[in-house]
Amino acid sequence: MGKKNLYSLLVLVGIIFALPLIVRNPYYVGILVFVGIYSLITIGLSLLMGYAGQISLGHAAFFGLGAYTSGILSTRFGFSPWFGMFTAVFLTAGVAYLIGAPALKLKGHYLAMATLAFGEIIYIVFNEWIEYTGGPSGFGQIPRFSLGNFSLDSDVAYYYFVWTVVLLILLICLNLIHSRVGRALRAIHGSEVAAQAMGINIGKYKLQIFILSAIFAGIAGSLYAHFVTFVSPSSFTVMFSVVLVTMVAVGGMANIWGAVMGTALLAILPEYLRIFKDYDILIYGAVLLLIMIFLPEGLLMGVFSIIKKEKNE
Amino acid sequence: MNSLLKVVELRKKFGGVVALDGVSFSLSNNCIKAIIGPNGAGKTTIFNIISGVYSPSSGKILFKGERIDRLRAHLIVKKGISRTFQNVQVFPNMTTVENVMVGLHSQTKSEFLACIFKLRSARREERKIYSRAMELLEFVGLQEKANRPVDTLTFHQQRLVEIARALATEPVLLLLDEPAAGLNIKETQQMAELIYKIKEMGISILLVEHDMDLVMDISEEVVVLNSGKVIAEGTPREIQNNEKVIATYLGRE
Repeated sequence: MGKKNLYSLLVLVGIIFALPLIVRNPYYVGILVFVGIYSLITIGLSLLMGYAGQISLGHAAFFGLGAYTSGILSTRFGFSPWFGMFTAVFLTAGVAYLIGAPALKLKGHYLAMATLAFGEIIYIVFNEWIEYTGGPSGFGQIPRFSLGNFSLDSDVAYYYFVWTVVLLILLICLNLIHSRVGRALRAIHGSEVAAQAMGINIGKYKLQIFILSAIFAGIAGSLYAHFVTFVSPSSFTVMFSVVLVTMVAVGGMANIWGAVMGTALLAILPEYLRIFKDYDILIYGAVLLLIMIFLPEGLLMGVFSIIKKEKNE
Repeated sequence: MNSLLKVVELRKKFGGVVALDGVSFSLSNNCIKAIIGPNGAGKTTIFNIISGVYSPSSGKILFKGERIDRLRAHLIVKKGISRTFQNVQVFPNMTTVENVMVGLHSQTKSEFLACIFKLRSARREERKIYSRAMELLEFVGLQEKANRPVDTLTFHQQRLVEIARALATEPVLLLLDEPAAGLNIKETQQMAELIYKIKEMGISILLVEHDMDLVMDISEEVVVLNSGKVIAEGTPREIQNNEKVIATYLGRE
């Protein structure tokens, strides 16, 4: 890990620690928890989109798979939420393997198509497998996580819990990027034909990164279920997969810091746009459009290059 | 039968276009051989087939007596064949030394979990990768540029990075695709010296090149291609005096 990343991590730790001291409104603390949960998904997605050059339109489904697995196991079978999360990790990894193995052998955007279909199928399963999922109205009374004897009942406690997980995942990703495997991924991003000529098995690494991103989404799902304590299919639509992809694109691909930034912006912005009443969606769209036109590298790198330019002039 | 590389009756069609029409030649151990021929003769196609980018329509490629024509690119590297590209293919999103470090991929083995958790084995291997990459940069004379983003280097320097990166895979055979294209006279001279040095390390070299001075200067054998067929093969002197070659190729220069 370079110095720059270490400093970024420390700054993030500082912000995460300080935010609940400033933000007192419980509603906003709740939003910050969601930003953390969604960041887990978009960090993985940014690795997939940035390094493997693949788009997944099924990450809301992996997210849902994690949420339902963890929720059902803890609510209907009485397992601990930790066991639920553990199972969610293995299940999402297994499903990602089954989808990714054939789709990533082909060149082109077959993964996007396969995951789109997968997203629809999972959505139908959530709606129709009423015995376990509660159908369209979902089910509630999912227990919260507890650490030993300490139950994470307060939103602030859960906030710190979720963001600790985010920091761990960020650390893992930074380790990965600055390693032999990470270099292989960046090489694939730079030039596929040269990467292959260096002995890199492109299909294998694309599959691995896809599975990793699905696992992150599964963990996020579990964290979501035990926070909201209620799940229903409407939270895991294909449209939400598109929102996740947008978060990554706005923040900047192949950049995990950018992913967190894009997520924060897109999750928090709608709250501020409420004052515009019916026009909020219009303005939301305009903001996205402006970012993509003027900062095509994404928010983070875009801002950096503007600062650099100012300095040089 | 002691040839390192043997290409037998190689054919390649792209749709209706016949790029290679039964090409055969061989390369003996520790030899520098050049493939020459006019544009579109099929030179780069041969490289792409040997290195596994394409598979041939028919024909065989034997490397150390073993068939490699159906292997995928990343496995061919492990057999000991490495290459550079005609229009330099460095990894633009990395530093110079990282580019060479990628070349050590096939020589190392830390996998996903070891990398994620930074296990001791992975860290130890990482140090080895770094120091070997630095040695190779020193070999091509770029150790001072190690931590620069590779796309800030000149075209000539990027070529050298590609060669260092190819050497990092510990090849027995190195394929150089137009190593002198775009270089000035002095740089071409340096390139020739570097190629000699690589040969002295016991590595065989097959190169595609348009710079005839360089080809005649460094190669021990030359094979001439025209419209996907071999029209002559021999020492540089023999090639220079070959009627057919003069008529179809050298005569035009």
